[in-house]
Amino acid sequence: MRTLCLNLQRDASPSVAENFLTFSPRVHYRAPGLVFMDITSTAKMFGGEQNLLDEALYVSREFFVDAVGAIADSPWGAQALSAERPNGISLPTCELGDLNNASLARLHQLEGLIAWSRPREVEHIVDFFHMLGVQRLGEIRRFEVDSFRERWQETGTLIWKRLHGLDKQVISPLLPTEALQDFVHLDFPVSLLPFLLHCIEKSLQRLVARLQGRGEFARKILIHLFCEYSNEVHQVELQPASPARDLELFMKLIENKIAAVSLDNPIHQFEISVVPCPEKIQQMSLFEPRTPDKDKLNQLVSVFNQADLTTGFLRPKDEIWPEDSWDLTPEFESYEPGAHAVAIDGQSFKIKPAYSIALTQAPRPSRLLKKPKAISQKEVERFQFLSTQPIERLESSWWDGSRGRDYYFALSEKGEFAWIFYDQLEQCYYLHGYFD
Amino acid sequence: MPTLLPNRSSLEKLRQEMGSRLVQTECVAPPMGVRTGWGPMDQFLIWRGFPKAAVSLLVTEAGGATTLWERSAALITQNNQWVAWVNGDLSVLNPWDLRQRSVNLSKLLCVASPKSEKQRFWVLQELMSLCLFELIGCDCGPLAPREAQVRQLKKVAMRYQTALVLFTSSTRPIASSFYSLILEFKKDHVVVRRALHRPTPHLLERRDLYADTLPQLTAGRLAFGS
Repeated sequence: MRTLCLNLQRDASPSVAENFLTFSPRVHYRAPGLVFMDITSTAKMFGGEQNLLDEALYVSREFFVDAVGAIADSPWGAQALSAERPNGISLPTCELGDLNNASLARLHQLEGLIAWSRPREVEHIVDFFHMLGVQRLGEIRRFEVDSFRERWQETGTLIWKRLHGLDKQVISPLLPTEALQDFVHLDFPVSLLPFLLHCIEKSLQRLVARLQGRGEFARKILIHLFCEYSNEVHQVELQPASPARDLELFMKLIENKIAAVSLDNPIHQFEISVVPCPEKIQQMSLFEPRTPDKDKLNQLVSVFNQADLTTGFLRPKDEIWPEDSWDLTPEFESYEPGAHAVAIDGQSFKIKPAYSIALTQAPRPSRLLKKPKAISQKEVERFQFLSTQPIERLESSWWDGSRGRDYYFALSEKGEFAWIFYDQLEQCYYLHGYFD
Repeated sequence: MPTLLPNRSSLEKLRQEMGSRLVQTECVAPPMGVRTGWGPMDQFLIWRGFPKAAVSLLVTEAGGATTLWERSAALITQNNQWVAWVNGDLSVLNPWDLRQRSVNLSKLLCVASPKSEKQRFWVLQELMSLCLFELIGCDCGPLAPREAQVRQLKKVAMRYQTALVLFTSSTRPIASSFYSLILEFKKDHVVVRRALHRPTPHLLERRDLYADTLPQLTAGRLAFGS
């Protein structure tokens, strides 16, 4: 088994192991700050062990600047090598040889997935061999297993086995079960937005790294800001237009939301929770830009939607009334006018007319008023109608008391070309748009 | 008969005298713009259309400004490039009309009417900062943006090389020097109030507004079987 051991150099939460799931499904975290990965079958996907080690170090140094690592045949070998020769790789079956010249103190690191239960005992072993004038690990391999067992029982046997490559440790697949949450306590309560955003960004970075490792996207982000006084809590909820893992987008959304929160009562702790969902897998083309237009637009639509600004693509709809005949959709949906259809229901026929066929050629104004505006008789007289007969009549179900609209073209005093209709039911005129 | 062409020696003399002032061809190339598709205007303006990396103001008194913007948007979207539109308080763009004008609706992003002037200003900055849109249109209604806002918008438009076109129905808009182009749409003509390196005001004759609609009307009548 080929094992990569990363020494993060400081203690971390066990969930940090999730960051490395992209390198291997078999990941194990052991305190303090040691991550073991079985890379036997995944190294070739990264272009070899050296490339994988570099990538893993790059990922770990995002949060642990002093992280070091090593690759060897066993977890304890990799751990000892990471201390003896940081960022080194021991070739397959050369692990014992590479550790031969290591000092006896490396016995402390010959642990692997399970830490020494009695570190003082290991200390005693090191002292004992030093007294005998033995300085290197390779030198104590000459002793028999019985000598180790008699003097140090289980620990002695384990050390002898490890020194002879006879102990076996297996790294099990890691199934992420921990909730995607991060709780931060601020030593100094914060009432300045940039400071708070800085703290939130760091916390969110950790969660995004976990999402990356788990191969998930964030569907929703919940932030609870706990105030210093009166047990006040602000709750901020973010929902991108489509699930994403884009830190920049999240920060933009958070900034816009928190800008509206009063920070007079300073924040002394906050909690971020992420509701995940499986990521979208897409085949990237070599010639496509790194950030496709779609991602940029998704970001923008999310930001605008959060500000209660409906944003999207215009989509014509098959409806009679012009004000209902369009829609704004967050993603583009192509539209082709349908054909009339006849549905047979038992003995009867039901005609389903498609109004949009005629609409594709019918004159429609470039600007449509959001709501038709009623105009008084005096105002109507100011318009110069271009025809005495209506240009178009729109009727819904005439048998059901249709409103019936007669549309006219008319010029205003200023020269605007207006679209006006006469409502048959209300018997008055409405301004509905402009051919602007 | 005296020749009008300078002879070789005088050309050489001129080159010696003025040579140091000669500039590279690219330095005198006209600034970039997006075509409107209206020949007389494109020919008159130095940008050959709406200026890129600048802010334009269309004062629409008698109408016609939206159609001009839509023609430009049609040319851009057919090229697979993006345009954006920010609706005003009272009216919205009509997708049926856009379809008839061959605007590719998959390349047109539409934003609902912002709730305040401040939000409109923010929306425009966000749209431009995406570095995606060639042309952005914004219906400002009866209120034209303040001078400080126009200056900021111009700065952002320059950074992201976007043609920003603002529409106003205000009859007395602020003739800010930060606008690179100001057009006024009157009943019989379009007045170019401000345009770089061009004598202004300049009048461009226009047809009757409904002249464009009459063929549509005929088609419409046929479509409805009347």
